[in-house]
Amino acid sequence: MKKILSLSLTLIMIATLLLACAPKEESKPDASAKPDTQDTVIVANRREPKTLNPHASNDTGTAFVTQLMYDTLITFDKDMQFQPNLATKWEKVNDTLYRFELRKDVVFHNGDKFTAQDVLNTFELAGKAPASASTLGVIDIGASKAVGDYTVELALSKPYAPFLNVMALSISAIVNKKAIEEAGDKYNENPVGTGPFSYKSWKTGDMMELTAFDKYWGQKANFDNLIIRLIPEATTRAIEVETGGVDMALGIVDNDAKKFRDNPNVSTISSNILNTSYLSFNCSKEPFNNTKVRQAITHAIDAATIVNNSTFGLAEQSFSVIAPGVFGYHNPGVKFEYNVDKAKALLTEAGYPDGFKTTLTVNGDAMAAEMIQNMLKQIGITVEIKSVDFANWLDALVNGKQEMYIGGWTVPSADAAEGLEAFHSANHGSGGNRSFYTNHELDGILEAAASELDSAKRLELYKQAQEMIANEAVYVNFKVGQTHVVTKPNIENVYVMPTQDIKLWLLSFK
Amino acid sequence: MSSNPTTQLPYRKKSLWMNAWKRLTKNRMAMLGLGIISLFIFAAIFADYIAPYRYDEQHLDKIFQFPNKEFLLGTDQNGRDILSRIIYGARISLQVGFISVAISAVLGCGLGSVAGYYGDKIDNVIMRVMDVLMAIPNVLLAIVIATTLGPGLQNLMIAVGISSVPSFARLIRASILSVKGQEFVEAARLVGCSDARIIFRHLIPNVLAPIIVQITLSMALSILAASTLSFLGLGIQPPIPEWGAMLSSGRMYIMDYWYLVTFPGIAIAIIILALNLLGDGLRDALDPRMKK
Amino acid sequence: MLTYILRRLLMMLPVVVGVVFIVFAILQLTPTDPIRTVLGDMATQEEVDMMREEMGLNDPFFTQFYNYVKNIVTKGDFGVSYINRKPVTSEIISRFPTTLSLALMSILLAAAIGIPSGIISATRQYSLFDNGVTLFSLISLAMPSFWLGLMLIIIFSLNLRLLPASGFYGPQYWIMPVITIGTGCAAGIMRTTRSSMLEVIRQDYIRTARAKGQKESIVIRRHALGNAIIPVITIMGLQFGRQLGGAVLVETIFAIPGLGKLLVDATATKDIPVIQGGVLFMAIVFSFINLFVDILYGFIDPRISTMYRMKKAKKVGAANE
Repeated sequence: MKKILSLSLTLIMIATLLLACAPKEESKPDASAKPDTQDTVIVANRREPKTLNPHASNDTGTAFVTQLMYDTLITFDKDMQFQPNLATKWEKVNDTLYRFELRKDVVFHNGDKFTAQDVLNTFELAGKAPASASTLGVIDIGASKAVGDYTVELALSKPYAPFLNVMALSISAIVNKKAIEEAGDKYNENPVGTGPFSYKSWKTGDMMELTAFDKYWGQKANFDNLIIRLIPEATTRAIEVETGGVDMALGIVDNDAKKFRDNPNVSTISSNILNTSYLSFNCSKEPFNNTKVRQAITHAIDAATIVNNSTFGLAEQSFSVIAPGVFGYHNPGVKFEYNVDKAKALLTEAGYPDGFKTTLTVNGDAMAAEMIQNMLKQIGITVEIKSVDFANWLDALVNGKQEMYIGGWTVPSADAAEGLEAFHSANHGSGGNRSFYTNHELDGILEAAASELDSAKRLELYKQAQEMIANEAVYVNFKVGQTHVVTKPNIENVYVMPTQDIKLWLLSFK
Repeated sequence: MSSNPTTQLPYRKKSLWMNAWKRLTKNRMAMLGLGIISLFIFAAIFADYIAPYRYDEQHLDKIFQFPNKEFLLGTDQNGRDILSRIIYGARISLQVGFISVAISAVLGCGLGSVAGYYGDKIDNVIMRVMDVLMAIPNVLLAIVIATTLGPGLQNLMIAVGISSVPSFARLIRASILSVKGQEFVEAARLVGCSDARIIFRHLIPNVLAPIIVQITLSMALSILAASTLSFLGLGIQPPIPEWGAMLSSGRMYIMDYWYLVTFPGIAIAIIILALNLLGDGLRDALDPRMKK
Repeated sequence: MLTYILRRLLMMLPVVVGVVFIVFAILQLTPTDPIRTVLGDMATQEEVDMMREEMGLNDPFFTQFYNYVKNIVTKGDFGVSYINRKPVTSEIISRFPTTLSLALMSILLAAAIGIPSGIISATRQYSLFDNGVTLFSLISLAMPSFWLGLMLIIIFSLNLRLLPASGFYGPQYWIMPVITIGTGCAAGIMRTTRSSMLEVIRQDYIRTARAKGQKESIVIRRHALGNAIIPVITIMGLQFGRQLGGAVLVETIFAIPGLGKLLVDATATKDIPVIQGGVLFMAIVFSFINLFVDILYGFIDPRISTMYRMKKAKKVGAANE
């Protein structure tokens, strides 16, 4: 009797615990909306933001959200032309001074009016934050000033041709200094921007809710609520958008994207982004300091097949170290085509007739790594793959521990100045030169281009740089970055900028 | 039946094992398990001869092929024969199973027997440490260790091995505690046997039965744990065909190329099944209380 | 009973401190720099070093350990995540109810399936039912959980459009994850119930009850089950504890914001405060579950409750003298 009593007591306790702990229904997102208009749009992403402060991190998960909550002074349109944003007019006063006229009707999410002082505050903070300091540190805050409330002059510490490009990036988003300082560590629960969406809630690991900002100065969103759900598993994400559980899914993988293109129940948007992936070397280590070795390896690798197989034929092969949309892009052509015999001959010439042993450090990309391993085996190079997590990969690359590695390089500013800095010998490791490549002639060209302001001359210099890099076989280029977004068929006006921004406030319903 | 009392003990011991073996062979399920495991061991040893291709042989023009005459279980994303990779994978899984359990068993039994035999303070300290290890969920402990040690098959085996030490330690301690009080231990001590001798020659053989059972069951758990860790990206370096890693790299193709995931999954299931069947059979066979 | 509980709680303390120490020590051995991971590859080495100094990461091991423990004990402060600066406590607490309810529901489902089949298997040993159930349970034990999960999503979400594919927002979201985890646990419970019942059935007192002419169902229910259930409860407790920390794969597939996923992600990003806080939390919860199970033992196992009653009687007897 006692046993039954205590057992039933236990069961009742468990049942009550269960009911009390089960998550409440109120937070359920509902994608079964009325036709024609919806008041909620649900987006599935594979990564969530790390922070809601645009200067604290520039990873893709964060940038996706910050470009919705914040504005920049100027912005890119679909064709990568400058458009006014918070700034209505801008002019280059001289090589190191730019003047911006600002809108007078902009209000922050917390009600503060936007003025020129906010611009100065923003770039003062950005210049000190680790993630933005290298990009925005060129602004000389001391010499910059506000002229009245709606004009600001930004001074640069040195002439910088791509300055306007940088102003259009989400990392140059205008923030509210007061809000940041008041919130301190709690800023991620109270972010304040001027953008078309304002923060509502964030349940980490689950979803973030944003609402359309009713006092937005620009085109207001066609819907009230934006829910961004984290769905890390690729298959689940694809199924959710196909069944209508979400309105839009980002980061769809290639094999699913290929299927979706033939599926009339969804719209598939594939866009090239300003990113390239490649195989590279630690040029400060033997035998990769020997140009002939690098060239031999380039001959041995069938890049076209690697790209075709690993992306199901969807991605384009890249021929330079920067993507085609970047200002200064030049295609030097294939200098060392796929030819195993030539590879072997060159390797012997370099002094390694029997090949050698080496390692390949990758993070993800196992498919490509395995193909490379196999291809190099044909010329006698034994590759051991080190498949590591992001932290270890980063650590290896920044400290030069790797021998060969597979990497990706994104140039959000769409200008070769950023893109090619990765080859300057002053930038070894954390500066971006993960190949630890040193070539003083190239350094000279890059420095000349950096201080050159004439577009035609810059193009010529960058062309020379890319020719040199190609001849030196510093990178074995694979593909141009591509991203796939899939939406329900009633959604239109969604496109992915080459910078990976998606201007969701322009989204409309059929 | 000899009437000489001094020959009684070893004679009885031998017939205990013979008895157990007889009972085991009568158990059909256990024999099935044993047979399957032997098959896997055979495959692991002779993989080079029975596998139609090498596990890293890529056919880049024949990727994602459905099972066909040329590739009996199909090809994976790099055009490698899945059947061959599964056969070679048996080698890896069995290695992982054996070595990590060996680590757990040796460390666990060592600690457990010291704790059980000496009792008191030593027992307390060792058991508290085991409690601490047991308080951390297995998988988590293995993940933390694997992350710290870095990727690689060896580190995987160490991580899995360490996380299973407490079960062995507790088991052997309990057995030793129950056997310690028995008369033949008293007798051995009276005759002047040293502590180590007592532990090795008298205690351990008598507690061997539950250990054997635990070993088979732990092997199953270790293989599963290794698969989970590989699945999470810790441990196995490509192109090593560990079944769990194959599952992980194949899972985003599950809707279109289901065979990438299904066949390695079945392989894991079968070996775990076999180990459990054998373990159950051993438990039944070695249990002295079972009278049929 | 109360003193027993208090004693156990007291014993938990050194174990918990031990857990903190071990995890702390292991994480200190990590060769990569977590701050470098946080700041990304474009930050200079000076910036990384500066941040390390700021966070006290260059202090000696024991100083850091002492500060960590002090913060927990005096302020209940487990630190903030390196990645998103949110307090570790709120990260864990926001996810705990989800993980808890998922684990509870799964265990209950597993028990509902496992215990009856275990009993039937034991009473009809080696029958078709027994062999079939044993085989089925062993297969589900070995089947990768994510495979079952993905299969369920494909069938019920994609093909039949009956259930939502991911999330954890209401009853229809719970069904597939619970089935996925529950079938795996059911196997273990079924096998333990079966072997435990088998052992009990062979006991003499069962033979006596049968000899006395008792109906078989009463023999099973009243005499066998009560004693057989004890190891089953241990297994249930163990599995429950395991699910709390280990359901990562299911949480990933179904996009459920649980503790398992939090911890595995933190391990990948070297978010040390979260790892430490999470493991510590799990260890405490696990210890409580063990305590709970042991107390349950005390009620169910007649040997223990008799011993307790005897002790109490002796005390009363002694007091009356």
